[in-house]
Amino acid sequence: MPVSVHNLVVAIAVGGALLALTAFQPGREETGGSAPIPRLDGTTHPDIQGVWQAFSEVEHNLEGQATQASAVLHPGVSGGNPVPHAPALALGAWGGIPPNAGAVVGGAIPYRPETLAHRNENRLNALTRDPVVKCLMPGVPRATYMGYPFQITQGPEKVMIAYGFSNAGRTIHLDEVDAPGIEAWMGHSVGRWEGDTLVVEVTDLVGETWFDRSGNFHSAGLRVTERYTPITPYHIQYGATIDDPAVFTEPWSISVPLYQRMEDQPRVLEYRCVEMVEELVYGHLRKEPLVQHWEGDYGRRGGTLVIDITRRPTTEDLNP
Amino acid sequence: MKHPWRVVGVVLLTGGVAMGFLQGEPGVVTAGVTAQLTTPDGWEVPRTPWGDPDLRGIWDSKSTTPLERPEEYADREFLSDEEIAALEAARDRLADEGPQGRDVRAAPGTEADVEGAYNNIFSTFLDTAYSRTKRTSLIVDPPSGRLPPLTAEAAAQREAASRLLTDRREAAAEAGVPYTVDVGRSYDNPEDVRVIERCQGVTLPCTGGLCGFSRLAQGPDSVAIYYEQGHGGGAYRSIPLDGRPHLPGHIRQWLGDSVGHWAGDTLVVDTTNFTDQTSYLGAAENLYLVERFTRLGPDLLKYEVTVEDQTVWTRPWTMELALTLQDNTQNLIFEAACHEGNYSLTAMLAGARLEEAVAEPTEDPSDAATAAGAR
Repeated sequence: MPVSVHNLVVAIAVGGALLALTAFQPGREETGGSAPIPRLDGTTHPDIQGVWQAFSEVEHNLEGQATQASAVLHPGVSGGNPVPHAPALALGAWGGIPPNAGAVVGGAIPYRPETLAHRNENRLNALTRDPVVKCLMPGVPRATYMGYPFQITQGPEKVMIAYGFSNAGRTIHLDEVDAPGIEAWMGHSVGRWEGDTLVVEVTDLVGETWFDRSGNFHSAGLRVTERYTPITPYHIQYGATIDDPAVFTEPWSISVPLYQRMEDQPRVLEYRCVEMVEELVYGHLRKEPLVQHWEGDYGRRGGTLVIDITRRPTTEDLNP
Repeated sequence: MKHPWRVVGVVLLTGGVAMGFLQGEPGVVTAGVTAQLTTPDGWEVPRTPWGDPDLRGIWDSKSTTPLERPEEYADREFLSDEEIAALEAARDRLADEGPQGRDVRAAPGTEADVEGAYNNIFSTFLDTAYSRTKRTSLIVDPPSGRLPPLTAEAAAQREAASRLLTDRREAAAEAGVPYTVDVGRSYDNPEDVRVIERCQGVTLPCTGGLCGFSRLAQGPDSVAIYYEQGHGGGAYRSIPLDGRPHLPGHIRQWLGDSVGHWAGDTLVVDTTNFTDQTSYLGAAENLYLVERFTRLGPDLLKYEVTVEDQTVWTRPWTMELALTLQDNTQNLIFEAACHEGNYSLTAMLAGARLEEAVAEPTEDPSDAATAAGAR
């Protein structure tokens, strides 16, 4: 039967109106809209099993930033923009920093004046100072929004998260557990359900980790309160409150959505960065230098790029 | 026993599958003992809210049972309680009185000092009971309790490696090199150093020794196991239970690719797609594991693993361990953070560069610049 254009338009309009009605029904936050939040089998709690990932650029700078040409910048010419510096020049547009609007509630992190100066100094030296460059574990909350997938295995008493980056992970204890009495890079996590929100108190963190690639840092006195709130079967609103009076004038929070990976049977594959950074971390101590000289032929648009590398130990290496 | 600490080294590095120095202690021989891991009368397997057997908790896989059955036991599968008591007493005597005793420090600069640098604190098995399986070996198949014969190719490779090491040790001894433990090892590059010292050393199956403790977490869709060893934070292993196929053959991982399913009340996990970077008793990228986890009591989990590598062994073989549940509230399992604290690899490489600079001072400034440790 032929379908008249008029009928088709009406059908689309009615369908659209229905969709709009569904989308704006009150209580969507609580119910996940038309699709109810699934429950963990045999319990009343939301089911948050599966592979999740933050599709966000805030790993570059939690406070947000405009596009930047490179992680390492040369100041450029007078009146011009900074340009990529030597370590990243050959990466071209692969190596640019994407813009992001930030994840900090209220926009800015409330540093104390002296700690803000330290953050700014970190930022200028991020490539050599960020522990993640050397594949040290990212800590909490950074592991969540780095952009690597992570797997949640969820039971009523324990939730285990295995992160893709560096095979880091942690166990969230929903049952009774003693304090560990020792610091850890991924901390000690104790959780509880408040309605449909999994609230996790993270303590006993080391002081060395950063929050992002832009030098935002903390002390060993850091306490993080995370909130995982499912908003649809496929989204979790992730919040983290940062409390560290030695560094910040008041607690502050971030908010980032997490997305379930929707491929058929997704997996978290190994990202074994310890192996990847061996040349960076130990290359200067090889008997014969390995990475020394590189030439790239870009043709007429770029010419020939030659990069020479000099490696030498620091006095610290020789006097450990 | 000339080098008991080599045995300890094997225990640490391969996951507690050797208890070599007890093999010469015959104990009390009692023929005809049989035992099997059994469930207590009236005990029913605990279940998760979704009905699967409950395997959750921190499990201890350490035991003093050797991987292979000592020859003196011939066809006997099980030890008597008296034999186990005698073996454990002999072990305790060795721990307390032996040359590598807990508080004994060898003279600095001697080979015993260098080679025996790990004291008894590192040998966790010395505090461990004989396995609750009461078996004479971890291996239950072949029935001999011993590894099956190597393939011709693997046997030739092992023979060549062994001959090379022997030759180097003999040459070093003739040349008056004070230590032989390091002979055959190079520190030219980080890749020359063993993976465990590069903080990349985790292999499956991960049992005993540094893999002694693991935490098993469970959900309806997946099981996760954390081993307190390995690169980065330790080793987190996620095992999906949806019957999915394995990864394509060209995608390889150090921990392989694990998929699981429930066969009755037994969790069966099938792992393949390993890399050529790890070695489990000589098996690398062709290693294929089938693990079976069966809860047998309030604090007892039977763990069976069938190991197959057709390029190494002429047939698959199976070992059985009895895992013991640990206190969950005390939570005595920690983050490995090996790479985060790995100053020793820097020190080993820098030490080698310094030795070279001392041995061969160079006049050419361009050479000096590349002799990294020279200044």
